[in-house]
Amino acid sequence: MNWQKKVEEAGLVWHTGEQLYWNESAFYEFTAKEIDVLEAATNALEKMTLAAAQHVIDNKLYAKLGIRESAIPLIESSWEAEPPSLYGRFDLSYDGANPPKLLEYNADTPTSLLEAAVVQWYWLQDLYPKRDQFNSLHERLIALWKELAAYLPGRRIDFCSMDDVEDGMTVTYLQDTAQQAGLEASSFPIDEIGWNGESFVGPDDRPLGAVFKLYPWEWMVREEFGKHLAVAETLWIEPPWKMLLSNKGILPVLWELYPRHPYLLEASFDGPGLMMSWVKKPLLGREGANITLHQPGKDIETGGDYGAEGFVYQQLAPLKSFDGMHPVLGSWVIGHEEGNAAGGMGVREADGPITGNTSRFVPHLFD
Amino acid sequence: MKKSAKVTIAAVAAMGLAMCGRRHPDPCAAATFNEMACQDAVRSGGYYWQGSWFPMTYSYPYPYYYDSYRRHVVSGGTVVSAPGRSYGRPSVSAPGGSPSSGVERGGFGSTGSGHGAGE
Repeated sequence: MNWQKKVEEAGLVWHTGEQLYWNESAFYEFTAKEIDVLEAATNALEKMTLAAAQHVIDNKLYAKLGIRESAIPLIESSWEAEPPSLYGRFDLSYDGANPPKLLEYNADTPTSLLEAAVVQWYWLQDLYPKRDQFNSLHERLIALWKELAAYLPGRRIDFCSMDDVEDGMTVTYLQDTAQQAGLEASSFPIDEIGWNGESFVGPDDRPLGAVFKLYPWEWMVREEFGKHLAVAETLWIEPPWKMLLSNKGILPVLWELYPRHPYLLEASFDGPGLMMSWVKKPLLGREGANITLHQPGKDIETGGDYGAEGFVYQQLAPLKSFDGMHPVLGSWVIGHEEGNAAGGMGVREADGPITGNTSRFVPHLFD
Repeated sequence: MKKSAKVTIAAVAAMGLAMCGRRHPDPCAAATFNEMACQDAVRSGGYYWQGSWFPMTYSYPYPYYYDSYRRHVVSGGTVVSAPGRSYGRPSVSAPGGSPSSGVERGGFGSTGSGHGAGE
């Protein structure tokens, strides 16, 4: 059986697009100590980002994050109500010697979950069954859905996303984990959501009690149905307060709260200041778009349509090169249990210093 | 615990076959059920998929297929519905925004149109 067939059977059907996506011609090998470091950093960052969200709310820093006023009541009410939240992914740089550094937090719509949770696990079982992997994502997701069941009307959750292969596979995998937890579930494209004058409804006109949406909050609040969000009773996962953490503006907020913290890179709303090498990122950018990477005498820029809401500046953390590749570690949190949120890791590598949507997923193991 | 003890997936493989194999999912099949498209398909003896016509023989009236779909859901089966517009007639607007139902659709998804929203 060739690897393409194996990964397709595990659900990864977008492995070969314009470029190779799943790459098992190489893998990353960690020590148990390094995994402990990454796990501890992830749990610490989880706690720090929750404190940063509280800081933004307490100090009304919404304008600095480019968050529109209509979204503020949604954010604040969801923060107070503590509705269910499922997952997030910290993107880290790590060279194995110095502490991991937070590059950004994909708190609202992270993907590459199926590869991290399932496909690389199959790879490990096939090729290195006696080795270990930082990966308890699958069973943690199922366990969390069981915990959340009491919060979901009718013990049901509907999943929606764009009509896109990768996004569709991500929500279908999550749907699978929800069903294995005993929940009733279905999935459909997000443009099939309807509004009947009182409630959001599914393709079959059934009112939607709880919805997992793989669609950014900053898009939802400004689209046609955004005006109904404040009055509808639908419970959304991820919740609206995740708008604070998926925003690159959380990086300078963290630096202000935890200056010189070993897991953070210097970051600012106001410009690079004294930073010699820095990255300029759009507050609401995605997939490596509209990034400027500055080093003395050299600038690299990526294109895109983001940046209208503003930018942040972050100290450049050069990604260590391995055989010419630049890996970023995606460290997952499942739920928010203090000190125990870290659930596993995936590695994506790019040819260049900016990780975009065509970077390759590479499996990992440790001893 | 850092290592997954057991990983079992069912829906993902089904999804791969139903949606991502670039086939034309039957709107009346329980696993790919689409209510409005199925009603049209039973009435018309087939359905359009991405503008192409696929003739089908449906031996039963629509409620039979709806009941099959409900049984599938109740028993924990996965449903992956294709977007209504995929079943639209060529040059005819997609089902889904039927004025008769009093339901507006399409109010989410415009920003991400044409690409994914994950990162």
